[in-house]
Amino acid sequence: MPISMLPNELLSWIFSNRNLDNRDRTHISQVCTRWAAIVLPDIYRRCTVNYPVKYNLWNYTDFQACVKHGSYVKSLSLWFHNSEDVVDSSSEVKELTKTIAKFPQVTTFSITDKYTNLPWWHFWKILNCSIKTMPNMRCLTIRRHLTNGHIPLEKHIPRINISPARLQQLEEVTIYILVESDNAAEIFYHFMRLLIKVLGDVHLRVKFKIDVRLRKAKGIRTNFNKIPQTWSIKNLEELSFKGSGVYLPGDLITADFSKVKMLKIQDIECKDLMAEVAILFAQYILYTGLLILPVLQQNHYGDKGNLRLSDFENVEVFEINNYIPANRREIGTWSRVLNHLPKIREFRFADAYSVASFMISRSPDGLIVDIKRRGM
Amino acid sequence: MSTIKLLSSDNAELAVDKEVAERSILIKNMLEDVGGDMSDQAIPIPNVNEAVLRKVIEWCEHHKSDPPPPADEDSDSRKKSTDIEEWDQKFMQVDQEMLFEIILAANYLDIKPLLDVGCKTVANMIKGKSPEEIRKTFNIQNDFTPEEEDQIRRENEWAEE
Repeated sequence: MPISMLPNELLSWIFSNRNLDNRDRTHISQVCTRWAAIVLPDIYRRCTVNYPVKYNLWNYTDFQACVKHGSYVKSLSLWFHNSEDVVDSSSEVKELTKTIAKFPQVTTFSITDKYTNLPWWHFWKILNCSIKTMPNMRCLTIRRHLTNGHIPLEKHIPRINISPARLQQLEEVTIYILVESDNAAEIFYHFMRLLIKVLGDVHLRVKFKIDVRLRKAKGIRTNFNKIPQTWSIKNLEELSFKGSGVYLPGDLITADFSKVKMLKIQDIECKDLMAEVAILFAQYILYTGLLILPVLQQNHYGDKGNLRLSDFENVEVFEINNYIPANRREIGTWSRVLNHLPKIREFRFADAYSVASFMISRSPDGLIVDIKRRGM
Repeated sequence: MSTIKLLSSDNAELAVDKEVAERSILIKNMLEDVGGDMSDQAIPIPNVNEAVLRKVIEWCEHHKSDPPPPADEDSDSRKKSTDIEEWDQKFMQVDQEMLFEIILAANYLDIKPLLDVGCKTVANMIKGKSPEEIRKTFNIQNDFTPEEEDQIRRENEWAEE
């Protein structure tokens, strides 16, 4: 009996076996027409489709293939990665939203605008259409690079009615913001305010992550001081900061940090000095209780920080990257910091090559007595 | 221990311990439906011939003490396990015809762990091979036109990991 006697259901079961990867599956799709018809939906179910250009790997043919099999795709990422990707006319946006509608089964969706300054009106239109036309979308990720540009205004939000019931179906919203300009902080504030307006009260329920990165923060202080501190987020589970301006979101956000379980400090800069900087950082936290990188700020805005270590009473994992502690003394200094986080159970360090994870032991009265590297 | 009889498609009657036969959910359900009493007549297995039925019984005997598979039919865990235990690997060292017959029989008799072992064996025969090598392995006719073949390769090669 040849393999062709097996029914499609069994061939599909074989092709979806974990021993096979997508390279094997694309080879299977080239064996014969019957195998192609069976395996292609599986290939597209497993892939993240990136539209339209990502690091020049993509071309129009690739994307047309994805559209052809769009009804199987579960994960779609829209990338506005360089000037060629910008949609800057209404007709292009219309065309794009029509394309998005060809991916009705998507459960995980992301929209990334990197260096393109996608016009706000187009951004909201695309976001709203996506939520509306992908009824199974549960995870939404937004990445925006905020440079000098127009402040997002309420009038930019198109009138597309998304029912509260639909919004309630979202389970996870992740926002990555790269702030890089004089007025970017103000843009960030208005963007978040409007996003919450668009999402309704969904932010009160979903798993909400924010990753704020700051670059070239020159002059940013003045603008931050102008921002009203009224925005609040609840159910924030993960908070990460990148860059030297660790205190800034503290000024910006009046947040309930009681549900934050993971706190990440990324990119302690000055790599040659990183151990020294990290220890000074630890000592500064101990001295002031503030999450500020004072050495790098040179008192430029260190005194304005209001993000306090004590706000993060339920943090379980604390992560710092670009730094691995060199000796017991450094670990000891950090253990004194971590003693201020009563729920902490894991301390992670990561550099470009590895992650070192340290497990924490406590004495019966709750004090940290040991920090041991995992697996040692 | 009670014994039951199975009747293959080519009319061979095989006596099997009830406990062994009940690795097949199909047979287990049939026995439950008739109150467990099938001692006087053979249960017909019309889709499976004697040679294949003997192989399936051999597998069931070896695995008669295994815990039952998860009740969740859609569980992905079965697909996720990549290893095949040594005894099963040897058991599956048969010609392709027998391998596919065993897979079909396991599917018909509803013996999921055996079906998994069979499917993993075939998956391992595909792994790492080019389309042409896969065709050669399974003696499959390429029914694409050269244009179609080129198109399908170009369209989907991005998905290769």
